[in-house]
Amino acid sequence: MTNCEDDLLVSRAGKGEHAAFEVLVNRHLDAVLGFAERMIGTRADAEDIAQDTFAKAWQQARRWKPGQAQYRTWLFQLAMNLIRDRWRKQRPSEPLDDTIADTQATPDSQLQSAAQAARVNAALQQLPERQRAAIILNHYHGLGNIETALAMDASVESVESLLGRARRSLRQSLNSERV
Amino acid sequence: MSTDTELDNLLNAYRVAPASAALRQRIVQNASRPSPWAELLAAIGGWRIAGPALAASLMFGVVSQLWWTQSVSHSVAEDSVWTLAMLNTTQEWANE
Repeated sequence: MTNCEDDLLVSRAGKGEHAAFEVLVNRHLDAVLGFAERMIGTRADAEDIAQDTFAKAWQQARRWKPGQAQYRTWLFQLAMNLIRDRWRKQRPSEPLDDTIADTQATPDSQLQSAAQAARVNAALQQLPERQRAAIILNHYHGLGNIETALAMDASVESVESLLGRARRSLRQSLNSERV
Repeated sequence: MSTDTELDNLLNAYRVAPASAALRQRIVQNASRPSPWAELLAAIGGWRIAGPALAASLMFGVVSQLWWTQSVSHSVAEDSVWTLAMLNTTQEWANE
């Protein structure tokens, strides 16, 4: 039902209807922002990527063909391309700065969970780009292997292999930090 | 950490804050703004004027290119005739 609604909204947005686009932004912005933040590691850069992703989505709404993939998967694909472009142009800024700054004045339990989040973020940033994208799409956004493959423009087999390697590397790096 | 569930639980500790209202507003406002091409097109009177003007300028380009190619090839042909005859048409030679 949601996909059908998305298809309808995108076709309306393609005809220049801003209200339809606003609904799409409200529906998918958090997912795109979350994906970008976990890929890049910093909030400010992730917000730029999210903004550029939706700007592209608006410009290309007319070209959207329903039934090929979920709209959300297409947004992830756009975001992924923008992140790659950004990496080609510049090295990503230092991750974790925001997270560490936020932990300074918080109570113990919050401090602990913030530290844990920072550890996971650091472990994610150590992964190669494609492994990171695969685990983020699969674990945090609930995409199946086929959808992840579509978003990453890869085969399902390679996504399975990327996920296996990503999980192994994460387990190793998070275990070694515990010791 | 030995099981997948343990890893999943640990990964779940990394949450991302939802988007701010300001970011939402910025994105929607950007979409409402027409693209620079659309603005330019509107400024020159839309497709009804820009379309025929573009077609006419293309036609002019093609016709003038054809005309220029013909005139150049004609003058080259003339030159080569003089060269073949080993004659020079400059004023210096004419005076002698």
